[in-house]
Amino acid sequence: MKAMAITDLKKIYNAQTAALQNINLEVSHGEWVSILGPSGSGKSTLLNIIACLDRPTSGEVRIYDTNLVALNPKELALFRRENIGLVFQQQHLIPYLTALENVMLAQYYHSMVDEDEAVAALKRVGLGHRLNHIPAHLSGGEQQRVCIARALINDPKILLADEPTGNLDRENSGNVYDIFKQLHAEGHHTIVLVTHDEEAAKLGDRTVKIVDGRLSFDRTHSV
Amino acid sequence: MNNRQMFLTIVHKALLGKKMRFAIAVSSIVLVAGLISALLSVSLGIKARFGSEFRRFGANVVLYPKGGERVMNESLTRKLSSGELGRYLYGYVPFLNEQGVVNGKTMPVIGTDFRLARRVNPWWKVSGSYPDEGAGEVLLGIDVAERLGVRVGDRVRLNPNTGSVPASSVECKGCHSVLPENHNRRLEGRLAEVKSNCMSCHQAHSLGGGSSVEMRVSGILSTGGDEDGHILTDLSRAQSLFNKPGAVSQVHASVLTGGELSLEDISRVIESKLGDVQATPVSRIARAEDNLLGKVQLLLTLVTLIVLSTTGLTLASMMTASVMERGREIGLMKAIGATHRAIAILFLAEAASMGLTGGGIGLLLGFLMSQLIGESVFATAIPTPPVVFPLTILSVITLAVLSSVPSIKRAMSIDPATSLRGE
Repeated sequence: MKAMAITDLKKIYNAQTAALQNINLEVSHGEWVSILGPSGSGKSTLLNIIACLDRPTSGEVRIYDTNLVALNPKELALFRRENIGLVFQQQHLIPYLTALENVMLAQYYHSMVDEDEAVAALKRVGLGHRLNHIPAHLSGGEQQRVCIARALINDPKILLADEPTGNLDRENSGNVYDIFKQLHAEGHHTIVLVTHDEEAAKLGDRTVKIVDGRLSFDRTHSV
Repeated sequence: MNNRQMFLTIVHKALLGKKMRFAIAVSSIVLVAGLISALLSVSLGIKARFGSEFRRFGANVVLYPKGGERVMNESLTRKLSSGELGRYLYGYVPFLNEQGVVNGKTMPVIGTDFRLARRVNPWWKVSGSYPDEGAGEVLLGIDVAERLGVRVGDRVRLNPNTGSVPASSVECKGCHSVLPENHNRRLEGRLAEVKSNCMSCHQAHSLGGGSSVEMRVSGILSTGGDEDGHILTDLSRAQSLFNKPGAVSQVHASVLTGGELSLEDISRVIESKLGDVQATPVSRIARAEDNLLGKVQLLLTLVTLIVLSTTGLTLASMMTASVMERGREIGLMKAIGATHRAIAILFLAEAASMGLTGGGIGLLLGFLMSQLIGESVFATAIPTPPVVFPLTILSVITLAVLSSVPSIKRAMSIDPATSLRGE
């Protein structure tokens, strides 16, 4: 089953800066695709478009057969809420809410809060003992794991991660990728990982490299 | 935890997460709530207080006999102090207006109840003392005293004017009751010195008779009004002297205003309850009262509006600054599924919470302020009408909510992708 189909995608800022040009990409359900590229190559722009946070200038983006280009802002927000889990490089957490409440916030804006589920999600990422800590009292790695728990709490079809270990040390990066590997092994989620770390990119099924807004290669990794 | 509790948790922690900003915003709301509640209390209480204050300036309703009659029955006045009418009346005083000859000079004579007169006309100045009831004493208006060259303690001879009253009367030298001429005739004696039983005290006393009575001047009255040209005596004595038992010419009533009924309404109530009486409001007092009240209330309204506007602008700028500071947080909420409506509701709830908190504390402050104003301006506590509480809370919540509108618009326009990039 196709999770994602991107056809002739272009994104031009201010009518002159081409962030993305002629991107064509297909991703199957359950696949882990790593998008590799240097800073400013356009990989985060692509991720934002897939995440319904931005719109392409032209082209088509289909996610599970829904054409994102045809959706209005409200429909895009609803689609994102239902189908996409986001993990950012910076651990964007609400500073005055505890780890548990940060996870429940995603439930709250999705449908109904369920504390037991939120606790289970945090336990799954190894934070069962840090439920009631606010972000300032968590390490960077722990904060990122809270973000992963929050991204997964509504069981999204696609997990999008934008440099999730960019601010973490090696040990914490390893912990985060261990979770991604586990999720991938379960096969419920399609994972799109944006990274500039080639080693991390190789953890996925496939690596797509973007240079200057264009796909430079699309390589499937051998198992 | 359910969604409602989650929402309250977010609002509560968002507000307390920025304690200093919250404290400043709430403080400004406390001040405005305090001022609003104090001014509302004063504005609403001032009506009743003005009513009481104006009662010091005398009667505001005059009761006349209906149908061109010169006098009415004194018993009607007793109805004024009872039942429903009693609630509206600060006081009343009956008058019997006649003409008499005092020390050979014709002048107006008033019979009144001095106890009641002192309540209704507290500004009357008496040099000496008010006449004691039944003591055969009179109060001379200051102009009369000068005209007659009489001082306190002197005696004057009062002769009821001929025409409308009996030409002669006698006075019991024991109880000083003034008895009509026919009483003397019944005694078949001379009017000058007869021995008999007094009709009033039934004791055997000698009766001094003739067409006049001698009375002691207990005091000189100074009012600055018509009364300065009158001679005033006890109502029952005047009724007896002028042979008008139980009659009064008019009643001055001091009606409490500031309630639901206007002075005219209360006058109509008096007329309907008393029957043969025409109740006429004293328009100059009513107008002065309305004018002053209107001006004071306008002043209070303007002050309130200025304070509301200033605080509204302060709150609006603080909330806009808060939204700018929390741009990434708002972007994140949108990224994880918050709709524009959800963001708007969150900020409205934060504003309303600040309004509620500030309003609650401000009410207490306002109560103290109104007491201070009451004590310093009116020398008495001003009651806080119950309606002040919901009105104040509603006002400050509305103010906080309206002030948050610009910041909410800004919050709704935040692009999550941009804000999460930290731009």
